[in-house]
Amino acid sequence: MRTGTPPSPQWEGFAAEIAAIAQRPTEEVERRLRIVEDLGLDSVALAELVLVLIDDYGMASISDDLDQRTWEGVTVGQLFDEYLRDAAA
Amino acid sequence: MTWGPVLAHFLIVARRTNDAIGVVAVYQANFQDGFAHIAAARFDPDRRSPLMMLGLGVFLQYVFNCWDFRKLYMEVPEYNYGQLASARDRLFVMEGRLRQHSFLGGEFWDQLILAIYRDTWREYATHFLRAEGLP
Repeated sequence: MRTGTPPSPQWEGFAAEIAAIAQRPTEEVERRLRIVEDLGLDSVALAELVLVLIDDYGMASISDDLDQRTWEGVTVGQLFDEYLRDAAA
Repeated sequence: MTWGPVLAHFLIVARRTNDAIGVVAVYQANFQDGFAHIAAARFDPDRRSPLMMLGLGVFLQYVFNCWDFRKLYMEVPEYNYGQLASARDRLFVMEGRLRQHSFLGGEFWDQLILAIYRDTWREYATHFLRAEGLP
């Protein structure tokens, strides 16, 4: 069960992308999981994630502050919420 | 790495802040057999960031575009391998291991020899070089 997230096509696709990068089954990706500490994304995987978020999800917020952004402690849910905010802006 | 046989080296900087992220180099080229070595060093190794890898990706594209190398070797101490491990067999293959090569933190570590092939990079680069909004 994906904590706190009602199933939606947007979430399903987002979780599938994260799962592919983390090389895990999609059903293991939950909002509460931290992408570095829990999903174990290394530097290569983080770079792949950034490119997917910018290119496929159009997240301008990522490219705007990538230089200063820290990834430790960031959860999948926080990234998904940020994507929704970007998409609504 | 010694600087004598360096073919090219660059400083990787963040575009918006101009902060120095790390350095990359291609060295010890063997044009007859079509390979060279690359090195990458991040200035802040404790920070988990994609910036160095993004810069390394641009550098790899530069190297494969400028020279007709079939493959590039990169030596990585075992204690740093965890930062690259997810790309094994997608971007690089592990082709060698120098056992107990270096001493750090009170113990000896293996040195891993990774190889990036031109064809593998060409396929992988479609992910790395497509983003237009990179800082």
